[in-house]
Amino acid sequence: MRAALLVLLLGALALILQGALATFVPPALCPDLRLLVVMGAALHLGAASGLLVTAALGYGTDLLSGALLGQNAFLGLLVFAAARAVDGTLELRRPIPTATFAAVVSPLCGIGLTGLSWLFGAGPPLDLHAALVLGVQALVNGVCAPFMVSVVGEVAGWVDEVELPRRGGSLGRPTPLGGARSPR
Amino acid sequence: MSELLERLRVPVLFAALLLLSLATMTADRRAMRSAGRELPTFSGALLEVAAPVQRVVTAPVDLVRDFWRGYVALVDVQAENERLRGRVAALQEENLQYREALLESGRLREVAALRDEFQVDMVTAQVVGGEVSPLLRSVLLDRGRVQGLLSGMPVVTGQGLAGLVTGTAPHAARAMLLLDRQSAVDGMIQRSRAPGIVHGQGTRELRFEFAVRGDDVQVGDEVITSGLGGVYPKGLRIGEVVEVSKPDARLLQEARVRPSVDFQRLEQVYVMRWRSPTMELLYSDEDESAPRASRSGARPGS
Repeated sequence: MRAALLVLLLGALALILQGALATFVPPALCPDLRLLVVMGAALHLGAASGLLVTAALGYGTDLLSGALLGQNAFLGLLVFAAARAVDGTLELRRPIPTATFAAVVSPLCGIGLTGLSWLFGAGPPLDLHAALVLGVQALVNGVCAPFMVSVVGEVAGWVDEVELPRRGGSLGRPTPLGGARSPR
Repeated sequence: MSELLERLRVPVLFAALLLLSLATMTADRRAMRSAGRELPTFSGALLEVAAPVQRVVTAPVDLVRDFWRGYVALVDVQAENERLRGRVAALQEENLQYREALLESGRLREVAALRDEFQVDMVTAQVVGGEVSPLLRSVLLDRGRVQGLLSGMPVVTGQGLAGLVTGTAPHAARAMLLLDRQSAVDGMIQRSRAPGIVHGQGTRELRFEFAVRGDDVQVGDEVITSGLGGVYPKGLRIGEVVEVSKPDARLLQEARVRPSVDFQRLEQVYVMRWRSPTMELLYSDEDESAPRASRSGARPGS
């Protein structure tokens, strides 16, 4: 629980930093730090607490952004589920798979955001310029992903180290959605 | 049984959160259409926290930027000064001719009246945060409901129209910029009075659309708000036409518009404490505790 709260705090700080960066960095070059924290939460937190952190960060993003309330929360939950599902078959915690996953998921999120806006009648469909922006941001996110995910891992791991002696055992790897998983 | 419940716990939570987000999206969209989007205190808390933190984060960058603009970038200022002096002289001459023409046509009085009508109470606000999504264009302002800001109020700079307040917290507000892909402003060509809609593209430029093919739209024309949409007052500068396109098979023409506001350097804006009667009706359900500037203030434009 403490790890989840710390990751939530980290995500909130990342979100605020992202908003500050956006005032002087072109949108395409501004990394989606919140998305990367969600990826980290999927890999380093428990399923239930991770889902709650993801939803909270999504709503936070919606409040700071011009998106509809719930849009980023919805997409964040899907990214969370996808990250856990992919981590079941690939070792997503290693830098290259992390970067690749972030680079693939990031434009999909953008497409999802535009699609939802369009569906709700709150924006036009995706155009070429928006697609280009998403493409460039995917690369930026891919570069930043290993670092951000490892920061989330460090934060969650630090709390585990503090709490492990009291629990008297290893927590193992995070459980996927829908069931428990034994440590590898 | 308990094992089954334990196994279902996470999928149920996942499904519940997805449904909740869909429900809030629907509710928010409905709120955008019918009533105000003023954020309740608990959900406005993030805006409240974000605004001062983002100001602190951006402070060093602003310092460097100010230094650059104030000192380093002054290297070419002499040449630019001479060029600008020439331009001012030419514009003064041009202005004189316009005044003469206006006096002759008796419209000067109308223009003066219009200027008087624009004397709306304005709130100065600093841009403290940008948009966290690369596909949207909004900014976070350091003024909110306490200072009299409400959703639906126009945001301007000295150069022209910048956008619209779309959400407020007690001490912070979010404003959608003209560049946003969701932004649409009723505009017209100042010279020919040709009407159209100015759409944001998500890029640095705007698009003047739905102008009838026969209307007089030329490169260099100034685009201003028409006041017809009931959102913005009439006569605010939007931008300048940089390219006109008339596709053969269409009855309408389009134009690319360069915004008069430099959105790359948007640091300080003015929020007009004014809302049109349409917006007053639209946002009639919102917080009554906030000052109603528009009811006591002047009504610009249409």
